[in-house]
Amino acid sequence: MIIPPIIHIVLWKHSSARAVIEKDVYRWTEVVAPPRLNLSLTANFIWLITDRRLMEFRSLFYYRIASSKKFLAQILLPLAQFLLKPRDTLIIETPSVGSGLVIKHGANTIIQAEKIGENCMIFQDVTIGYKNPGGGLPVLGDHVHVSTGAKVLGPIRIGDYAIVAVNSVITKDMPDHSTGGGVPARVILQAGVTDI
Amino acid sequence: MFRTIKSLPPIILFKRAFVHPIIKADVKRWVEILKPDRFAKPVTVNFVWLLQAQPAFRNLFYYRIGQYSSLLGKTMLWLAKLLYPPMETLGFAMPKIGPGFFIEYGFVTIIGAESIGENCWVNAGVTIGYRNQSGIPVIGNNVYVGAGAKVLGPIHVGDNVIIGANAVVLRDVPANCTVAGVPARIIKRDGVRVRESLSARKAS
Repeated sequence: MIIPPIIHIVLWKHSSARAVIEKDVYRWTEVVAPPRLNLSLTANFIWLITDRRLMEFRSLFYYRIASSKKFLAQILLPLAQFLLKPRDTLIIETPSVGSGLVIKHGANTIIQAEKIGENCMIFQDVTIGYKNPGGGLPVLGDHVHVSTGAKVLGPIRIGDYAIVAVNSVITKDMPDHSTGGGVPARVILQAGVTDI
Repeated sequence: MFRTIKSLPPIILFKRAFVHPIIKADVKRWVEILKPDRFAKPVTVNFVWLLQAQPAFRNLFYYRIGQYSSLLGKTMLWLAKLLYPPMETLGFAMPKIGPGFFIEYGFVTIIGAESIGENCWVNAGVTIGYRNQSGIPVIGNNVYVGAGAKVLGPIHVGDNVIIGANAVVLRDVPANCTVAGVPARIIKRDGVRVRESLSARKAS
């Protein structure tokens, strides 16, 4: 049980995405267990990577390692994935994901965005992808909150600090600081002002 | 080398299957959608690649070949399922599915239709099945079911229908329509934007 975290720590410290993963660890600790914030980053990393209830963190970690093009990472990654399995119902196929992405309960979560900003939060049963097969993909800004069951589809832009409501289907742009909900979704709150 | 040995049981099942042409049509459609540049390769090579890369395809394959009564068939099926385990959260309940059926990812997908036509497409998070134990849907050809949609009850969905993401379809859908919303409304008919509610009477 000692060996797996050592391989993962080597991968983390060696990778070119080291600083990004440090921010991820800090943010996950902040969201999942704030009392642990006074512990060291490495201790929190070991806890996050070995806890079976937080397999989404492993998926995110392997995604970060796979996108860093170092030789050692390419060799050790399959071994690491074999020792500590990632969440199999979570798919991240995004060219660039900002630091501090938190994925809660990654059951049936498909993230196929063009770009995701910093400190976003994505819940279970979410699909971010194309509207028509082969179509464009969404761009998510910073601090976006995508709630349970929401579908964000098509070549659209979700603004910074936007909130996507539960079970909504977003197919149009959302401005910054807005809340969108419904099927099909419309903006129901704009910077704290109700707009119905 | 190892992959060749590993893929022998499913290849034998595939080659000897009674429904060989249907599985062949499935393989062609999956490859056409996922990796069109692989389309020129032989069907068996693509079949092995799909088993390796797409767990949802394994479920479809095991559903297609069905049960075996002979000892050899049972052993081969057991070996195939051991080497290529199917997805747990993708279920088929007594449907008749036409050739060219595509499942994207297949997480939490339950397909319990009475029959499904040719070249249909089902996304993740879809439920097709009972509503108050009254009956199950009949689905036509070339139907696209978006992510998270629910199609419930003894209804008939026509050909070339697109069901939008997170829609809840409880009534008959005529052919060549796009439906979306909770409960589902027609938002497009024959390529023209409309806003009609679905009628309670039978469309056929």
